[in-house]
Amino acid sequence: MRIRNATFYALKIPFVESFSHSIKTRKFSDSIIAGLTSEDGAVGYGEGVPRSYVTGETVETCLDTMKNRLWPAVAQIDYSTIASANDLPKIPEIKKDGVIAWNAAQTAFELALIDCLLKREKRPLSTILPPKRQTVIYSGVITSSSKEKAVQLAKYLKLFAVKQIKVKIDGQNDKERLAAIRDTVGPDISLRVDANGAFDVKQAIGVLKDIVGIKIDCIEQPIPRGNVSDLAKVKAESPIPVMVDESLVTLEDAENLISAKACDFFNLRISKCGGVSQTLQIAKKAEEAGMRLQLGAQVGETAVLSAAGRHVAAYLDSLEFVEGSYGTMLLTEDISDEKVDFGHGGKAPLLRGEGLGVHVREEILKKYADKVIECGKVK
Amino acid sequence: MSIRALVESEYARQTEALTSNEAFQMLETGKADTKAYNVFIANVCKTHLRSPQILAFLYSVAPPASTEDVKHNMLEELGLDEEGIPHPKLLIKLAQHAGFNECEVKTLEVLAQDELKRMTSEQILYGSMKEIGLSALLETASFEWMLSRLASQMAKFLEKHRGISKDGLDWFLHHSEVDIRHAEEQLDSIEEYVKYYQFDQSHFESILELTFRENVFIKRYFGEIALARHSGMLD
Repeated sequence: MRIRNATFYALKIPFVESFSHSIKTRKFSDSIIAGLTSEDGAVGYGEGVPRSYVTGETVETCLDTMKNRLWPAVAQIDYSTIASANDLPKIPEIKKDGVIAWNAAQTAFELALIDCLLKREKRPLSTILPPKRQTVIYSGVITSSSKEKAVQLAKYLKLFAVKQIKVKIDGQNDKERLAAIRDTVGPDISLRVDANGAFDVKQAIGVLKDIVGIKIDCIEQPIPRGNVSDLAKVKAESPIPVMVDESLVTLEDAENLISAKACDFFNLRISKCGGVSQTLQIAKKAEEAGMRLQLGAQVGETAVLSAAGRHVAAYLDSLEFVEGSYGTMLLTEDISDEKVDFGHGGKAPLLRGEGLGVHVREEILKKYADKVIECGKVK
Repeated sequence: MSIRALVESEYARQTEALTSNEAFQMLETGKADTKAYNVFIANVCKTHLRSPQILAFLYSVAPPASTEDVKHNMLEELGLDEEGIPHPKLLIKLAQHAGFNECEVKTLEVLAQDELKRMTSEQILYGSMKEIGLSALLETASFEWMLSRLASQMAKFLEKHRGISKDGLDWFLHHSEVDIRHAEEQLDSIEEYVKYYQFDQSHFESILELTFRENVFIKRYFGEIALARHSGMLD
């Protein structure tokens, strides 16, 4: 299958309410959607979410890379049928000039190619990634906010019977907020925290010792991405298991983190890790090393990445936490016909439709597109 | 604060936000173009064309003490009461008076039905039908409360600035009169519902807050972009 043309949409979908963590407050989704059309007219959609503080990509550099470097290369390739999870479409490697990786750009292409190839053959992604479970259970998230707001969100999540909750912490009043959340949800709900690298080594160890009594199941990214030995120091002293997120972008990162024994958990995110194929490679490495796993999500991701996440979450053998599929709980409008949001108890069913399992509505892409780039056949 | 006071205070807040919204004021002052009036009319139609089905759902979960009121409301919407005017037909008449052709009117009906299909198909966050029923009742009653106060005003600006004749504005005129009674009955129904299904105050308040997390009037009558501007999510 050859791709005839590509369209890239830089979206600006407003949120229902703002979402904050220690690095950023967001009011809208800034995903990039890639729409690819094959020579025989099949259409597939992919999504990437560039984050300067994660992969080094911005919306602008990501779009530029997609248009001027990835598209000319992808347009030359004749993609063949996907036979297995080891056979997902390869995106040409490009030089990491000034970024950690062009993973959001690659993900948008990879997902669009998977969707296009499978829709052409009228097959769902689950034929390539056979599900190990029929239902995926998602976690709720409480953003950085006042204690009162955190308690209000905790009440909602309790009402929705969500069993696992991640709380964003930022060094401001964290213990009091966490204690109030614990009081609200009760002792049986799993609570974990995400600092998004808000602390240095000493602060992180202090915070972890301070909150251990609140029954916290793990801390995500206590210190910023950097020297893995610093992370290993935190892990060695932490009474709470340590998860890496921003520190884990590439396969090389995974290998370094494993050999330095720098963490207990990997947080895999499809856009951050460069697509389904690279996410599965990192997951395999983690499983071999006895590392525990979370499949995370990007704040503001649309139904496309959520759908890919659903398939991967159903496919992976051992997964303790899953995030994402917030859909219109966060976005004022999602881009697909089908809603992929999770329901009561954080539960969501498998997606059985062709390709990724969602039908993207082009009129919604156009409605929220801040920028649209069309690319035709490269000569 | 009592259930009734809490609900009325939320409805007043939602209604105030609607009338102070720029898109609403443009229509009211005649500064909007014809397209904006037509989009508003289309959105009103899409929002209310399937009201009988929503009322049928509310009827099925209504506590015994309010069953008769909800039934009467539903029959009235269907035109099966003594007046015999089906409300969806008044909405179609409004669209026709605004110059919508047969195909455009059909599209409105399809979109209203699609919305119902989407609502029915999606995963549900609440754990029971009584919670879904309360949320639906709160939202339905909010429209009747708002329309009982604003329907005449809306009819006036559509007549003055969009040139819709009085005959075409029957749906608004009908709601401005009928919904004063309905709005009061609905507040009684909400109190009955909360009592019958034994919601505690905190549980009730959470569902009230979640139902009105977004301004439902701006979202349905003016769309997501206007809502995002209202909530400060877009410049």
